[in-house]
Amino acid sequence: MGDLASILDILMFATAVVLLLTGFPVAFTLAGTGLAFAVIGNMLGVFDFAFVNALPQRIYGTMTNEVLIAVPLFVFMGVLLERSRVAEELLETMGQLFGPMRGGVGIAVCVVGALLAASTGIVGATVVTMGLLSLPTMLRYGYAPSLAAGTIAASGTLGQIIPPSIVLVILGDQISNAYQESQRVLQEQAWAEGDFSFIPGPPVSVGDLFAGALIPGLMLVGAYILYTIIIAIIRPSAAPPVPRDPDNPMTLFRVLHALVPPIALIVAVLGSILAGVATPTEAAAVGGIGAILLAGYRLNEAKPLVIYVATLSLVALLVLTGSMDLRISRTDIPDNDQIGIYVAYGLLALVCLGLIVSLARIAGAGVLTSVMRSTAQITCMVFVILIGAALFSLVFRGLGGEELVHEILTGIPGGALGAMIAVMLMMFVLGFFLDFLEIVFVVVPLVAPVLLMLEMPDGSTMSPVWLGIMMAVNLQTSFLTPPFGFALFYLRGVAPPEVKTTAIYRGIIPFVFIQMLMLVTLWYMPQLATWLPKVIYGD
Amino acid sequence: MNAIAGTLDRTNRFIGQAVSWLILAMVIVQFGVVVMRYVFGVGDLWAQESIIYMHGTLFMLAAAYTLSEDGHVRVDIFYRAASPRYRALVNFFGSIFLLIPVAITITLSSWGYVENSWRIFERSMESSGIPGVFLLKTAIPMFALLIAAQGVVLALRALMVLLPSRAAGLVGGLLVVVPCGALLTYFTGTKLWVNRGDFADVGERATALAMVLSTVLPLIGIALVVAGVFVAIRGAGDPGDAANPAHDADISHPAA
Repeated sequence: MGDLASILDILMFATAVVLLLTGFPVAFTLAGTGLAFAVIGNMLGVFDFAFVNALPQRIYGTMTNEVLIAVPLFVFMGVLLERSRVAEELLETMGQLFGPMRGGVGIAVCVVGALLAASTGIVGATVVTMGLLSLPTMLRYGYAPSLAAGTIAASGTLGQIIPPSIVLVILGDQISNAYQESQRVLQEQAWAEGDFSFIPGPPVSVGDLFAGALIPGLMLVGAYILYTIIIAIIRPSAAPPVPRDPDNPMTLFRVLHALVPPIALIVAVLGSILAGVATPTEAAAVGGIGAILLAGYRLNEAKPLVIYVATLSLVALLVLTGSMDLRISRTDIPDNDQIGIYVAYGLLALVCLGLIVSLARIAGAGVLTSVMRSTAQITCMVFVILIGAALFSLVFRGLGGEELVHEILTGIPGGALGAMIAVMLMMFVLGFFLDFLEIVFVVVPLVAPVLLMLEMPDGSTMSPVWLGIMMAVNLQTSFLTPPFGFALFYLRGVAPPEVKTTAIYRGIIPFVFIQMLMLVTLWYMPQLATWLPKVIYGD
Repeated sequence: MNAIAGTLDRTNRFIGQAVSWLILAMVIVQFGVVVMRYVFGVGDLWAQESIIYMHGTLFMLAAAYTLSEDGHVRVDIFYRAASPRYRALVNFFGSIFLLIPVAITITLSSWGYVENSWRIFERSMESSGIPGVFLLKTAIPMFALLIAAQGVVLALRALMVLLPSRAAGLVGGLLVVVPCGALLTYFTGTKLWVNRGDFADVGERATALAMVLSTVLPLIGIALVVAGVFVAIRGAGDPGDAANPAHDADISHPAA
């Protein structure tokens, strides 16, 4: 059966790409193509329909996957923050703060891009917001259109790589499955050869990927800023200073007002994950609560007291937990602790009060319904693609695609590194047409287990965290690369007509080079990605 | 035909908008679980599992609503700038040859899976967990049926753009609505209505739900067949809002 099935496999991939380009929703295109080839394969006698019947179990597995629960929670947090106009205020304030410097607004865009990436993480929204708010300002004061557009598009995509990002949650889940799979196979192989000393590596978590992405992400921000500064020095006319608005003087209060809420949220969410205390799902829920309080505050700043009290109670609750033993299920609770528990109840009640007031304000402003609906739609979009990709990969596997991928990858000269380069190139090209979701759901489960089994030059196997981070940076790069990069489309959609498309392309190219430099650096210094997870979670 | 599309569409929108509130519950319950665990050192299995239930229900039942809002991501390099006619062609053929067959396959392949779960009223793996795994699994065929219905809506609305009223009615009624209705009637009739006696034996708790489903689903199928024939005779009706389905919420479309 081998040959015919392999041909069908390749044909299926090609058909899927062609049909995707017609513009029918991705999830159903993938699933429908898979189904069609399942029928064809079945008729030709090379496909067992039992593979398709495994789909319900796969769907149920997705529905009950606890890691993926983080996705709707992070989406909720991002959508709510977006509606609270956090981005607008940050851009305005940071722009004013850095503006009088040469290249200052460009730097502000990079910084705000990083902050938004670490809080909302919604790429399209970030590019659009910055394109609408910062681009006109930069153009008005004489920034070179290409530099302005490039900075905005690149900074806007930071949300993919800076944790907590939805990309990393999904990629982490897939990489973790792939790693488990590869370790299982390696162990079987070792046992079959009579070698019982093989120990499977520890499981990879989304937290590992978050920690791994932090340093490369921050390095990218640093590199963007450095590039803006260099341009401002060698071509001052391209990045002129922007005077402050005299009617609206900068005060410390304004800076704090804009900066403190997002930073507090970032510290709470990322901090608890990176400290190894909370899972991403738990941290996302805390972030969601924080976003509700923040929105409640922003909607009625004349009456901030309830929100202040709720926020302080939350902090006090944390401090109390750290300093006392509040477990209520013990049989013998000392008086001191009992008092602490009552205080904790009181604090919790205050938090709840703040939440209720905030939710009432959000609902009163008519935003709550639309936040719910947007969140539900984004969540469905993600998970239905997961279902569609599951059917597609089931059929691909049923047609022997796994062996095909394995054969191709192991046949590439250069061992693990050669195979890795080939995969990275393929993902980069696919990133032109496809969204990260399709690539992560379809390509990663196929190639990652093979890659993770291949021997590196030093005889060990590849680090799954490193592989994940390389893929994430690679995909981000592909979204920036002309002429098909998604970020460029988003920016084109909101940029004024006098910014030529060629200017956007020209402006983004230096950033693409920065990205590639990052990939090369990661390639030679994998510790950049693997060091922090090791420190946090142990080996 | 507008009426058929409108009714199916409204049903899906209603369901999707209703379950979208589960997000808020998920955030709050998950926060509660976090506080209980890290502050007071107690865990609650029901709370923990309820989040999974809400999560699963949310994206399965709101998927068709998302399709109604055109929220499922498209590769829109060409689609974005294309004419309404091209878009209608893509949507019509995509629904008929990709979406609806997939939905039917999911329904068929999940049927035995869900049926087995119902037979034993499958509970949580944990003895003190929520005893509703069979209900959660039922979301799979529900998802497929709702998606199929929304696929019919997409196909009908595309037809009204592509063809004049009479031809659209004939094609849509006879080739889309009647077959879908007949399939639903046949399938649920032979699987559910004929065997509805079985439910009484298994247990009382979910019997009522099963009886309702086994009656309503074949009836919807019959209604669709009748409506399809009616539309085929009468033509598609006023294509007024066909090209531009109602969008009542402002949606910021998600990140790429």
